[in-house]
Amino acid sequence: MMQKLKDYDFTLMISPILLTAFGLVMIYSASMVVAVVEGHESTHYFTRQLLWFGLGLIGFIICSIFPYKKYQKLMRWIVGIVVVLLLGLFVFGTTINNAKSWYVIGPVSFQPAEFAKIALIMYLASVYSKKQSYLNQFYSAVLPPLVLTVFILGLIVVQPDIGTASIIFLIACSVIVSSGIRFKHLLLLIGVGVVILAFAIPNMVTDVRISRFTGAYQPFEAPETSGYQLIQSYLAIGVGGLNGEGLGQSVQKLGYLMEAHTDFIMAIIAEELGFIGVVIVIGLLATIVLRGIFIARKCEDSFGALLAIGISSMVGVQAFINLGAISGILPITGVPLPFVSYGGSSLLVMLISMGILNNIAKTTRKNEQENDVHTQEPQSKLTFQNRGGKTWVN
Amino acid sequence: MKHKRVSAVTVRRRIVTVFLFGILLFGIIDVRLGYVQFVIGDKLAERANESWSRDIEFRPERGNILDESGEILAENVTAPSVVVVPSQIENPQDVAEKLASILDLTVDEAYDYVSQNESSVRIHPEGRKISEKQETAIKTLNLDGVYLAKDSKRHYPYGDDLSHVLGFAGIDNQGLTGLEAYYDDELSGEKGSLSYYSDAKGGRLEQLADTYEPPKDGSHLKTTINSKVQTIIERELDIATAKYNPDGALAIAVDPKTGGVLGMTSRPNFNPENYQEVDSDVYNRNLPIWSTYEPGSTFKIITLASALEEDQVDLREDEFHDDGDISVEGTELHCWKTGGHGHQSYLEVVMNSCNPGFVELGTELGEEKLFSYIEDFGFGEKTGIDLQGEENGILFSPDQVGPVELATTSFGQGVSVTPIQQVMAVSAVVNGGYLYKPYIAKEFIDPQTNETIKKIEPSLKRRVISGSTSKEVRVALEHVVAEGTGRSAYVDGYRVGGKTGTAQKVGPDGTYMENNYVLSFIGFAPADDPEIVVYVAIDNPKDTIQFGGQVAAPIVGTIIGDSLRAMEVEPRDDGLEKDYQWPDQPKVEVPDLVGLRKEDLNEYMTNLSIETSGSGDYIIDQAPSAGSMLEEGEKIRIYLADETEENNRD
Repeated sequence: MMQKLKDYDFTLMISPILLTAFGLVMIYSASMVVAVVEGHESTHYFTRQLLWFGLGLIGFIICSIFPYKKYQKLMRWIVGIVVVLLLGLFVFGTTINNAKSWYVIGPVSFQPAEFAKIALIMYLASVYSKKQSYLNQFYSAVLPPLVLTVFILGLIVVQPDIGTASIIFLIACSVIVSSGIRFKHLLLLIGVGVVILAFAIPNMVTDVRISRFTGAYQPFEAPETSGYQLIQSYLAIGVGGLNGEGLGQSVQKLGYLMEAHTDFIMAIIAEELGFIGVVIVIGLLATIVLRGIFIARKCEDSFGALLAIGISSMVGVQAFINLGAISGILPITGVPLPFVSYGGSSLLVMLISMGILNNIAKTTRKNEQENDVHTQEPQSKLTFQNRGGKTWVN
Repeated sequence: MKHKRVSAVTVRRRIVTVFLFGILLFGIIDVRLGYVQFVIGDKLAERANESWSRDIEFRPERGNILDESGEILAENVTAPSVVVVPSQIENPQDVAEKLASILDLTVDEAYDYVSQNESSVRIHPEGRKISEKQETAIKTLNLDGVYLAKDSKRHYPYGDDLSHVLGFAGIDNQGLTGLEAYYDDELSGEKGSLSYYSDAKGGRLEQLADTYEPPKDGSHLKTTINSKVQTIIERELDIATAKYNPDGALAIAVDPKTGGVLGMTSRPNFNPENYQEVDSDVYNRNLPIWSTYEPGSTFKIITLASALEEDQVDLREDEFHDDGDISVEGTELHCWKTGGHGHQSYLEVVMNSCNPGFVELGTELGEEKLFSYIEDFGFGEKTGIDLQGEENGILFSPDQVGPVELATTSFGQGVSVTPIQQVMAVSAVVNGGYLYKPYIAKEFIDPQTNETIKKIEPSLKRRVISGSTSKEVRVALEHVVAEGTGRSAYVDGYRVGGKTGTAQKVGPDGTYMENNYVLSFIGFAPADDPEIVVYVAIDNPKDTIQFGGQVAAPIVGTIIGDSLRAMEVEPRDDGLEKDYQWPDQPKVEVPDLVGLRKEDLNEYMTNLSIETSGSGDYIIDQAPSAGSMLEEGEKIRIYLADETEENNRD
């Protein structure tokens, strides 16, 4: 057992747990007032997130142990379930915030799009690793997987959940880029993408979306409407300064800043714990992402490498979109901060992904050590013999 | 196999690219967050504080405005305002209907107020400072959630008296015109507040300390206004307005020794408490400082004082022959009296207000000297009185002045001045030569301790003429009133000096208007030591002969007499006597006026007063008839028609 634990990447195990635990504290701080105002216990959001954390930990442990290579064999099932869940939304979905993205079963609600992220990562990693040998063939290798990708993206866009769709799109991009397809094909895909966007954007432009953009770039022009949330976020961050106002001391969470415990939790962290708190959170997130990419580089197996890249991208892209929104460099799209923001489906998917990443890390390290053993054993024996020989001679 | 190898290298290279891209993104985010937190953080923190803090306002009491003796000219009276607490109103529609029936608003508007999602709503402005009747009605209904809050309203005990000077304050007690606006900072005091921090819904945050700033009531403003003098002025102008139905009228009284304004008024006027009822032109135009026009003969005082100061003339020794007009560079300038005044001493030139005589004085002084005196007496620039809306007036610019302009300026034509400029210049002429800045605010008094916080001293601008010149002018102007064109301003016992003015108005097209004059008189008393200077101007009076001595002089006489008695100025017994100086003409023979045009009347007007009946330019009848003997100043009634007809004469 100890031997098995030794193979695990300690940093990659501890960082997500630390982040989630820290997130729990901040969720309690940011949500206690909102919870009471909404007529719940002050710990309402905290306990729910704690339950999801427990569930997530189980998923995390299972996935750390379950050999990642077996996902390739389960690929049909995984993709099938996600597609069915997404299609099922049309019939059984519940509309929250104008998007039919949720299944609500009793007190539990979950978002299939979150699971679509990890499923699609697995799918792309699996397909492109299988086709490594003839990846220079555009029609037979590069194009087919994109059809399913576009289909899944389409199902999410029509909910409509542009935020999640763009995240999935960006994750898919990073997996495709890393898969090693030819540069020529990459340029072709980018060209096609640009043309499609050029046609799609005019149809996607709505007043709400325009106001999100103006809200992001000229918040003080419309302080009561589209700029309100960003201004409140700015105020929270601005008040925090270097050290923050102290844990629990946020004023912005008292009804000024909406979604304080979900998408805007980083603003509250900045207000209460200052830049120091911000740097710690970003540091942990960066550790996870960069560590993931590092593992991808080390991984001999291309499925594992692409899976690791996909997972790292997922964390990185979501963190960037979330933090970009609260600091006013991207429009506000309602993307949670990985591990930290309140939200069960997101946390569960994140922790499961971390489990998978840990399993890739462990497998990679084990292989490395075995390789080391194979290459070093004869040498050490030789050295031993030499030494021994000399000893014996002398 | 080869493919795979290349591909694996590509994969690794691509991964490194993604890795670097990831680092770049985190770098961007960190820099951006640091920027928001540190670079613009202080500004944001300030905004946050503003957005968190709630102020309960404590309003200061506005200061009173007082006259020189402490009489209240403007004060506050309590008037309730309607406040509703929506959460306590069970049937908003019913309450809205009831409120709409009492206050000046529709049911829909009332419903908006009573259904707002606020803890308390002030019905503004319809429910602010309501009348007693509305107050009683609301108290009687006794509606749940409808309250009357104490509020204060500006009250002006003298009604429309002094309205332009006092001005008025708006619904939030902010000064909008007049002294109320000019001294708004001092009068309004400082708001107090109880600041507390709150959450977004307005709930109080216990962890952040409250701060209380008590309000600071506004200072009382004591003015130079003498309410008795003001009342006299108002009364006289009311009478004049009723009698002559003029286009406008104004009066100013100042203390020549300080420049302090004793009284000032305009017609039309208004009640400051109901200023909305009149056109904004009425309350914005404080005629004594706003209107500019040709002064006419009152300006001759300036020419006279300048000529005397320059030793250009000896009033008793030098003589002038007036044959009715004077030629200046080929332009004939007429005396107002057809045929002229004949042979006169310069004292008589002044008494008769003889234009050619003044042209002679002005021409002798020369352009440079006359205009430098005019400027020294303060014409062409604002006097700097502490009221808003003062005008400059217009003088000829030096390069425009030729001999004709110099000549007309000498008797008050071709310059445009404000009444207050004339009053201050004449005050300087009669007070020994000292030009003061006119002022109204005298003291600011702390409302709590009644101590004077700030005192405003008279402000001397410059000395223009010597004491002896000043004395000479006073004597000459006393003669004008006792024996000359200003006889109807004579007040027994108060040695009144003064000068008439009849200025033809310039119409919109830039030419002089027919039969449309500003009739004015400027007077001062007592002539040995002037205590008051009074100026009255009546714009285009109807049903009378438009001549300053006829219309304005008697008003000034009454104002001066009554004011000096009210001010308890010692009566004099060494003045010129009105009757003694005309022993050879105790009675006047009534001339035959029938058949003359109205304009021809000018020459008869100095010693008889004329009332008109009917309208038109031609005189068709008169009473008493020609040849009767009348006391000087007695009335002749004339009957006017559009044309003279032989039939009418018989």
